[in-house]
Amino acid sequence: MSATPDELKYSADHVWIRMEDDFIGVCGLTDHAQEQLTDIVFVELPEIDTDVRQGERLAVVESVKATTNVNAPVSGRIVEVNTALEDSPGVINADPYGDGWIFKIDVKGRVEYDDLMDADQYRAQVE
Amino acid sequence: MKRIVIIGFGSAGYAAFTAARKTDPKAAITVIDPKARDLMHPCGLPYALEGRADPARLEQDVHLDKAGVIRIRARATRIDADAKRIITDAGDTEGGVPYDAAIICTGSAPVLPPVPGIERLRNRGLYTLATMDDCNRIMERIEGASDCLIIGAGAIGLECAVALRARGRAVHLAEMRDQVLPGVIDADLAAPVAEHLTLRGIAFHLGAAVGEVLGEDAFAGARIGDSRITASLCIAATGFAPHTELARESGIECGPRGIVVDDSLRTALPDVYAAGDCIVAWSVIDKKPVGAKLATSAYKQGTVAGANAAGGAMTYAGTAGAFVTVLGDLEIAGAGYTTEAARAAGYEPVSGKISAPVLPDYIPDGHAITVKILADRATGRLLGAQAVGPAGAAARINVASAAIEFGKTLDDLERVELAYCPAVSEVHDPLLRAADFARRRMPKR
Repeated sequence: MSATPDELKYSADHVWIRMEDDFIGVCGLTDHAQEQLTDIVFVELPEIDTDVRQGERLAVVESVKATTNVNAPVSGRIVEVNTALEDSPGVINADPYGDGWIFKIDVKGRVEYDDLMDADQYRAQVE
Repeated sequence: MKRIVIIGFGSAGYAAFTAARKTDPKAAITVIDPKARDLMHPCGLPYALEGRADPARLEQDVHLDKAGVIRIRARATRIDADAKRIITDAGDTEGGVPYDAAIICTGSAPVLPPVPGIERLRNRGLYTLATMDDCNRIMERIEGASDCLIIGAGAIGLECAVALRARGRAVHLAEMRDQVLPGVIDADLAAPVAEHLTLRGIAFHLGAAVGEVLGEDAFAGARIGDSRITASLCIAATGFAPHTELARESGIECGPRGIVVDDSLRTALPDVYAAGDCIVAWSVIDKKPVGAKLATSAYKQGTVAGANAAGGAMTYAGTAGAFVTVLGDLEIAGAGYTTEAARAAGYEPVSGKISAPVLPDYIPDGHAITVKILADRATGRLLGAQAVGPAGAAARINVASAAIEFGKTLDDLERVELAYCPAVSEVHDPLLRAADFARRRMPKR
């Protein structure tokens, strides 16, 4: 049974987002996604200062079994990436909502953010 | 008829003899070496300690007389370059052994760690491991020893530790650096090796130097950092120093790592070559000096030196440093630079690493292997490779070593199609996946 924290918002592509303040959102892959992938062996991170549109692929996560794209949950600009994942990609499996965060985005699409799924809606989608 | 004299008969000397003979079948070859038997295989010594190899079979005669070779059982002491004669300590070669070309293959000897008073205990419970005499002394001492200390976590120290554990002894191992196999694999690959060996009962003291050795008439223990351990057998496996006495005596330029040679393996003396552990070897990647002293490099160098001494024109491009050791259930292999060595050589390395099952998941009891590839961030040129796993590490490193030897890049390596069947590997091999990860870490073009 995968975890889906109530305080986060979710995209249909299995990306969660948590607002650090009024502007910056921290994002990563959901517990459901990492479970499906199994052992993650490689993360290709986006470049800082990249502008992205909602749904655009900005990172790639590869496991022993499969490769998945990580798409931008909202439009914005990448301000920080979790470089620790370069040496320890498995942290996404171990702590997908904490140390396994993948990128931080300066959110431009406020309406897009409001329209994202809440925890109940995401749970309904994946179960 | 050319007179070729080979001084020292180990891997380099033997290879030199074979190459000289092939290059000039008419040459008169003389081998000067003090050993009673022609050849001795030091890499087999830890296996003899373990009881896996018969020590008697580590020495061998190769019937040099049948090959028309003159065998002088002595130690060469000086090369008289003016008279072109080699002076030895044997009485019956007064005036020296004349040569047209000479090849110095004097090898190396173990060094003891710089612990006060350690020299006093040499061969009294405390040993190095390089000769048959060392082996016999240790085998005798093992009988009465229950606790043992190994100093040094290089391949030889670790192989000895595993050998002594296999014989039921309690084993401590002290290593100055923070990891096993320092300078040979990266710390992140070394950690699971240390864990595996700890589960096998080896008590590691990493990041700890031996401060004091204990015992009056014989080794009785040591102080390692703040701990005191009691042991009646100690094997010091703390590196080798080249035998450069002959070269220095003869006025040949030497550095701290050995005799200086050019890429035809010529020394500063005309018609005098050198090969093996006694020389300063260099990396095939960038020609920088490397400390590794491998039997395979010695053999290659001996071949070049022997051929050239006999009139050939070969060159030695340097070593890719490929090695493997088997410790317990793990095969550990590597080639080229570690991350630390790559940085020290002035590169900014990019790496790709994967730990993945080797076999398809529908084959039961498959094992996992960890492979790490290093390349130059700017050019993608391969700088190093390391692999750890129950099997298949050396096989993968051999591919990487060949690629390093020929100056290939990550893109080149990824093109290689490897042999596959479900009993042996997966369609997309971890070696190639690691190369792919490294390439994707390079700056986007």
